[in-house]
Amino acid sequence: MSTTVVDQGSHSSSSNWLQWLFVLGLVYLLLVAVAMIGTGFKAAAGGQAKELFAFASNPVTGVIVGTVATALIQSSSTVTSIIVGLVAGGLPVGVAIPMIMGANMGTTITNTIVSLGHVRQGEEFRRAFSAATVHDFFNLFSILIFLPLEIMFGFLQKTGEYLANLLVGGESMSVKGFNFVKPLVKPPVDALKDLFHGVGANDLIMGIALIVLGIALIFVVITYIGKLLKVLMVGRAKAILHAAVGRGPISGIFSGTAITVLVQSSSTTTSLVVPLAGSGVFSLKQIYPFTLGANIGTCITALLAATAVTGANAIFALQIALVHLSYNVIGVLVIYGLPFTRNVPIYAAEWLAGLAMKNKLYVAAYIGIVFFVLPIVLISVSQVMGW
Amino acid sequence: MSEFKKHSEALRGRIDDLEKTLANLKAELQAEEEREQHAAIDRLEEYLGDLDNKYAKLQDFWQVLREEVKQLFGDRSDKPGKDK
Repeated sequence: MSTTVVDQGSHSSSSNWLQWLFVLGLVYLLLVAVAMIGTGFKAAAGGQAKELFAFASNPVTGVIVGTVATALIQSSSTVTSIIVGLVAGGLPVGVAIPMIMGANMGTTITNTIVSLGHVRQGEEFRRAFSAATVHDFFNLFSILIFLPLEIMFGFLQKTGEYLANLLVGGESMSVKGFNFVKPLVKPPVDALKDLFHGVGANDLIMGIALIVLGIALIFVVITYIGKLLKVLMVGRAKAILHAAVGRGPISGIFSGTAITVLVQSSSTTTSLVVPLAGSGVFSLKQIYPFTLGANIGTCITALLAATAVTGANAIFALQIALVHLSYNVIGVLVIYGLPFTRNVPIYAAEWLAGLAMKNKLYVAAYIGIVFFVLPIVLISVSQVMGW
Repeated sequence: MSEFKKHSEALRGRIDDLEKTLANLKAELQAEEEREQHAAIDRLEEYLGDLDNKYAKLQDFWQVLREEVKQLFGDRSDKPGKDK
């Protein structure tokens, strides 16, 4: 019997190794995909990157593009990685910042859908729905506070620029002239370029093909990384949650961050806490800091994606990834740090959950309006008014 | 010792006892809550597995929504009949 146990143990540890190798391979593919988007965008747009994204130069449109894209794909990591790739290809950082803010908002739809699973459970639904929407309201208030400040002062862009320069000294992301990512990422991208040129495609066609393939690859990679890490990291996530019990909000924020880094998905982290809150075992006040940690933890993907970018635009790719991190850290420090703003998302979530208990039409209206109708109306209005 | 002092000391003693009892009850409640929280965390795999059923959740919600909308508009159209 002991032999069987040992056999099973060695089998599971070897299968774990295989899964880790697979994760490593997927991370490599993520870096390749980001480099593909950067290279493709550079080739397709030439020096016209700014003009191509002129439609999103209005910050409100940028936020909406980020929100809707993330709500449809249901992965902020995918959208932020694509944005990093586009910045690497020449998209101005200033245009990308509102999109990053929108990605934060769009990702909140996932845990809201998860909370709908409790719809027949009365009070349990109220608790689950408020635990899901507290994240929505936090991100919404974050946009309402920081987007105008960014438009007026560009403080996030400056913070990102300062941090990027601090990290790489104003040069590209090479360490003393040696870039360890470049030799790994460049060959497959060059091979694809040669392949497209070989079949007679011009720079524009080749660039568009690289962008489309890169986006598809990021989507597949992040989906599979998420699935694998969920299985591989569940034990570690449980240990982190056990350690955070009874230790207060700061510990909640740190554990939310740590679990999101481990599973590479903020929506997984924020969705996990929905049933915990729904059962009534955790209160909304205990869940709330945990979801804020998820906002910070999700920045790791964009930072990882930025390491794939080489050349003159590498600094900008790193800058937008650091803007993402700064935005989320500052958001937590300001909204959660100040006693008079801290509970606003909680009150808003409880109010909406109260309405949702009266009639589910409020839920449908909330999801439809916030994630789809309002964005379309705002974009139409901004186009008509020529903002 | 005056009657007043005796009475106030007795009251202070009772307050101390109540405060101790309250503190014990609070600690007991916290321990109970934390025990439940640890038990819920132990079911994390179950919750993780459930995350993949988003389509089923939306379908279920849609059904509940339809029932509530039907009830809402059905009730309204019934009301004049009831009045008669």
